Amino acid sequence: MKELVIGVGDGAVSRDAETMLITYALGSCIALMVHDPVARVAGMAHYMLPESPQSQAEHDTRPYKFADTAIPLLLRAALAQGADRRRLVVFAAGGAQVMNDNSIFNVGKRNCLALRKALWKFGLVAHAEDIGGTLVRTVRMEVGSGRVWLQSPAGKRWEMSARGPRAADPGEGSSWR
Amino acid sequence: MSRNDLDRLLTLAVDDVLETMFFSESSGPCQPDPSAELEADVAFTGETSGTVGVRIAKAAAASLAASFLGESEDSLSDIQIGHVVCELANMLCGCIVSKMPARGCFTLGSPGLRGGKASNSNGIVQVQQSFAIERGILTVSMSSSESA
Amino acid sequence: MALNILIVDDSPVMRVFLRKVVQLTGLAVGEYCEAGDGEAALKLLHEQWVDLVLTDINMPRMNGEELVRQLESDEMLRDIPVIVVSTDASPERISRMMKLGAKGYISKPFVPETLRDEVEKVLGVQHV
Repeated sequence: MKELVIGVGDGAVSRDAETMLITYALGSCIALMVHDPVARVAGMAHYMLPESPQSQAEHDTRPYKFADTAIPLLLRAALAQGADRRRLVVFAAGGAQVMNDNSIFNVGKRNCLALRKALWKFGLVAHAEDIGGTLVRTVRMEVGSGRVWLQSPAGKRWEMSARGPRAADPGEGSSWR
Repeated sequence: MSRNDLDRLLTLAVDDVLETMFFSESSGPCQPDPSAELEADVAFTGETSGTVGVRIAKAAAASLAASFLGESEDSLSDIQIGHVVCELANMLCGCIVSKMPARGCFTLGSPGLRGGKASNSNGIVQVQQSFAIERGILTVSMSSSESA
Repeated sequence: MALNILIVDDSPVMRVFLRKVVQLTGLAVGEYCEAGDGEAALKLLHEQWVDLVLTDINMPRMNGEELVRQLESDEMLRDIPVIVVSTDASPERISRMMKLGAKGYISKPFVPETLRDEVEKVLGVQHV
């Protein structure tokens, strides 16, 4: 299984069933993941902030940094790779309130609201979410199957399911290593 | 209910409504915007009766309307924005009265959009709070009276 | 088979919101019908086939409670499932509407997936 690491403020779409999309250390940031199980297209974006600035320069060079540019960009990229909006399964993780965030403008919560707003504009809502709280999450998504696993800093792992999260280590047949 | 209790109800209702259906939040209490152009109110009757009203500038209303409808702001008409402000008043009224410690059901009237002149019901208790939101300020007021 | 959905609410923008939520279910919808009050909804229901009704309660002319009562008393219409979507979250109202024949009840405000899940539950389908 090849690993494609999505950095902070970055995103990617893949059709390679042997690829695992990974992003690390989601604090107040959010990882949005989409998967089309028929076209076997998967995408992941790791955004940091809810809104892009007025400045066009930063808007253009770091579109995956901001929810309002990252989410439409990821969805359009997935559709361009053959995904169908009606088949998309949507996962989201992150948006934690990190311990040293004393700002009254809670970035994690604002990122969560920005996620919902942008998805709603596309006529979507997340099928599974693991957001909020104080946990810093690492996320892995298998392109071929669309399965998503989370991991905490303490090493606890669990799989996200569109029918609800299951708090257990993956068993046989899993690609988790 | 005490004024403090009503203030708390207003804040809870605003947070609840903005976050769930408008994907927005308030960044805290603030002073009202005297130039706000849009106003809507809803009457409620039940064990307690009264009115809940909202005042909001058009720019802030357009931003909320775009979020609610999942559309871009420039695609929305003034009529649609007005309807969204009415629905905001409707939901805030329902949210507030549902949290009041009263027995039985409430009936809400149809929300009405006004031209921006501050209205004042004849209720006994009146509270008003203003909240900073995206692109402006949302002012929510409530007057209530005990039913005969 | 495509379903026909009737959305009853005196707010035109709320009708748009509800339509978007139904679209989240991925159900094949043949037609979205709309009515601004219970009276218009009843008239429409006597004219065309509908598979699901979403209705508000507080509406002019005929409110949602009377609409559900009328549907339940009509042999031709009583089997159409009704989900109430209302600002009234009082236990008394919810109980009354369910006893009158409503199959689901969602209080405003709600996150879209709550109504999506209720629609799927009432119709016995699941999108994912």
